[in-house]
Amino acid sequence: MDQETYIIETKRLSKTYKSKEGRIEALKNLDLRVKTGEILGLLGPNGAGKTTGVKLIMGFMSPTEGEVIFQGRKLLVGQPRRGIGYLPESFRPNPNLTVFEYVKFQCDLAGDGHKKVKREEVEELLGLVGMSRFPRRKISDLSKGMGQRVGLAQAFAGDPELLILDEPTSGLDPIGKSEVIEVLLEMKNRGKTIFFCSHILSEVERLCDRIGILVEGQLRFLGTSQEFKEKWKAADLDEGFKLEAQCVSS
Amino acid sequence: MRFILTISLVALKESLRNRLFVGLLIFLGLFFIFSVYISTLSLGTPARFIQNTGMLGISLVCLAVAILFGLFSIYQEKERNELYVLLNRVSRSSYLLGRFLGTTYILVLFAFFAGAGIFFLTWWLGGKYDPDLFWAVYWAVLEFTMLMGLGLLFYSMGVGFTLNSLMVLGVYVVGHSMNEAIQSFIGLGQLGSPVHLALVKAISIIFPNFDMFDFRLAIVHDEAIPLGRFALSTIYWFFYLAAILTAGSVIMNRKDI
Repeated sequence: MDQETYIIETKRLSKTYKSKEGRIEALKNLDLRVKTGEILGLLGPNGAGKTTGVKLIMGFMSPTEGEVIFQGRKLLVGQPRRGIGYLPESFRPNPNLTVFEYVKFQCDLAGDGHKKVKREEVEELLGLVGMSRFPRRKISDLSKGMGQRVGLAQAFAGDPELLILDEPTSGLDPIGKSEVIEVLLEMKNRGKTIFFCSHILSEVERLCDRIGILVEGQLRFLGTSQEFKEKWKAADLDEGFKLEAQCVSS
Repeated sequence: MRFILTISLVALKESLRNRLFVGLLIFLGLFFIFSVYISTLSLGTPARFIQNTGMLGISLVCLAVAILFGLFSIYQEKERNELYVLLNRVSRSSYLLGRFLGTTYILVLFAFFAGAGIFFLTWWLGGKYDPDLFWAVYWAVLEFTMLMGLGLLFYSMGVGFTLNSLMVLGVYVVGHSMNEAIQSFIGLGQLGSPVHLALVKAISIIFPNFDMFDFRLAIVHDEAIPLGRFALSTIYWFFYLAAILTAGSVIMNRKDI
């Protein structure tokens, strides 16, 4: 039997908010397992619960129910996630630092606190995201795409096994998106596991080994994009996605 | 500890490069000019006038540092979603302490600039050599680090920036009336039951008492501060600050962010 290892898994992960309108179930019993070395994309429309799911996995929120297991260990809420590189949605690095200073700062924090971060380590990260020509540029002077690349460089700091990226291409122009996708593919080639959220179907199809479809807080599908298209007998992901959403609303 | 230092040094670097830093330096310079101008209107006591207005300058600048560098920067960090990146790597208490320490550096810097400015102006224009003025810097640092600690406590509770700033200002004003308030309350409390009195005393301990650091008049009038008061105020600052920073860390650890 094919023995698969999972780097991270969520078990019945749920989050319910109380609001003036009553209880809102942002995430319902999310059971998700990410295989080591794969790229898994979590797809869903705005408000589907993707960011809530990521924040629960990262321990920024306490779940109403469920748990997160990373490399066989149960993760606690509020504890730093060492070993996981993270890029939040709409991330903007500290504008008062230079590109080099910022990435070095993150490398310092990603380390064990005793070993000094070498200049070459920072330069390698900058090279990986195509920012090696701009180490001294102030972050406030960078374009949005360049800022996102700095965001990716900080996520790679400390050489994490797993990368969790929330909408890594949002707000970027087509060239910027393409560049980010190239960097992610390079990380996959280096054996890293990537879990990312997006609502842009084309990039997910190009990048992911498997996809998860999240609608109204529920994981509706988990498998390859081909399997998803076959499920709905759809020509492309877009069509299948629309049919899935219609099915939920009806 | 290493992470706290790393965060604090980056917070310092960030503050030094912030335009607000230059803005506050200009404000301080203008305040010195104002205090010199005011001193020319005095009848033979320019040194005392410079010192009096200078003390006010230290307080205003430190208050601005506490709110603009201490609080505004952490709210901006959250708005940029940078907070999540940091909390992925360090514990919430390390983050809070790192930011606190980083703002303390800048607070010490400004308080020192202000203190040194008053010292030289008093010496040059007032003809009075008064190194005791630097004690005002010490008390200002104690007072405003405590105020900043309270701001961080409110932040950890999820209070927004505007309300937090108003609360900090409110606490500052109330905290400077505490000696008087405590005496009035205890006087009133004695009219009621022992429980009432105990409650009033408890409230007086919980509320920050900034009067504990208010030795401005004593410094201006060359009065010696008793060693006991000096020690008591410093111990009060230490324990009060430790308590609010611990409370802030505990609350932040339990909160969804």
